[in-house]
Amino acid sequence: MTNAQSTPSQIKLLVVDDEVDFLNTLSQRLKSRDFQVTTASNGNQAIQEATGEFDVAILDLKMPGMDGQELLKILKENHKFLEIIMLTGYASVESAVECTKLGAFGYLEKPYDLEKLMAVLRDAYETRLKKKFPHDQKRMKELDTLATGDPMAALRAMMRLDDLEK
Amino acid sequence: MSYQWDILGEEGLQFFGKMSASISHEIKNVLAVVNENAGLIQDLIYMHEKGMPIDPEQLKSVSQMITKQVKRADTIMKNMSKFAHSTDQLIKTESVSVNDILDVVTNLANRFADMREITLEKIPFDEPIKIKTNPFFLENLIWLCFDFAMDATGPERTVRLLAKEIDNSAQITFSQLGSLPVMPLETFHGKRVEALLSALQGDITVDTQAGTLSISLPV
Repeated sequence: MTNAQSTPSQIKLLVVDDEVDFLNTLSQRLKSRDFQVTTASNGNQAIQEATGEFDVAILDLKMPGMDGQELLKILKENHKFLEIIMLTGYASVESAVECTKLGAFGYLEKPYDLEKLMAVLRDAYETRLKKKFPHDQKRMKELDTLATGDPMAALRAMMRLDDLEK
Repeated sequence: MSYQWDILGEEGLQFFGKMSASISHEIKNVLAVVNENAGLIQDLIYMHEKGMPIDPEQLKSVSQMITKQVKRADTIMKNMSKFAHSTDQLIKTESVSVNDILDVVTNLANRFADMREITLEKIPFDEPIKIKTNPFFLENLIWLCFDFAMDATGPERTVRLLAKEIDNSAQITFSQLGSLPVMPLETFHGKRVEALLSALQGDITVDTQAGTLSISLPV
C-alpha cells in the first residue's frame, strides 16, 4: 500500500487491484499526470486507507477475499461524494448492470487505453462536483463547458472549481 | 466401465468452459500489465521529447516487467495446451502420469484457490505413478474434488494433496479438510461424481474424522 503526499490542488485517487505489477505501473502513470494516488492490493487495505477523503476510486472487480463489488458497496455507503470506476478482465452486461446498481460510475475492461480511463475519470470527477455543489449555478455552468474536450485540461480546470470552496 | 454420456458431456463442457474462462481472465491480467508498461514507455518518450532525460534503470525495470509477464503467459498457455489436449481421445484410455495430471489441475485450480484465499499444497511423490485412464475425465473428477475440498478446508485454509500407489491402485488424497463433519456430502457425491467414477472405474472415500477425501483408481 502506498500513500502519496498531496498538494492542495491534486485530485485524490484510490486505486485497488490485487495484480501488484499492474497497480504499481498504473499508479506511476497517474502520478506523472499530477494525481495524488493511494494504492491498495485488497479490499481490507482499501477500507483502512479510505478513512481519508478521495475524489475517485478505481477498483478491480475480481480480487481475493473481498471482491470489487463488495468493496464498491462499502465505499459507497461510507463516502457520499466518492465516484467509483470498476475495472475487469471480463466485462459482462450482468456485472456492469450489477455494479451500476451498486453505484459505480464507470466500468472498463482490461486492457484499456489510458486515454479512455482519463475520459472516464473526467466524467466521474464532474459528476462528483455536481453532487457536491448541487445549488451552485455558476459552478454548474462552468462545469458544463468542461464536460468535453481534453480530459487532463478539463480535470485541472474542474479541480480549480472544486478548490474554490476549500 | 460405463459412460453416462448425458451427464459426462454436460459436466465436461461446464468444466472445460469454467477453466477456459479462468485462463482467459488470467491472460487478460497479463495483457493489462504489458499494456500499462507499453504506455509507461510512451510516457517516458513523451517526457524525453519535452526535454526530460530518460533514466536507463527505469527502462530496464519496464523491460524486466514485460519479460516477466511474457514468461507468466507462456506458463499459463503451456498448461492450457496440456489441458486442451487431454480431450484428444475422449473415449479411449491411455497411459498417463498421475503427477502430470495433478500438475495440470492444480495449476488450473490455483486461481480459484487464490480468489478464496486458500493455499493448495502438493506433496512431492516418492515414485512416479502411471495409470491407464481417460485423462480428461480424471482431470474433471480431480477438479470437482478440489472445488469441494476448498469449501471443506479447515481454519488453516490449506488443501494438501498427496498421491501414492497402494495395492495396485493409485490413491489421490485431499487432506486438511477440517470442515468435513459439517459439509453436506450428498451435494458433492451426486450424479456427476458417480458418472465420472463409473467411467474411470474409480472410487471415493471420505473420512470426516481425519478430514480427508481420497480417490482410488486402478493401476
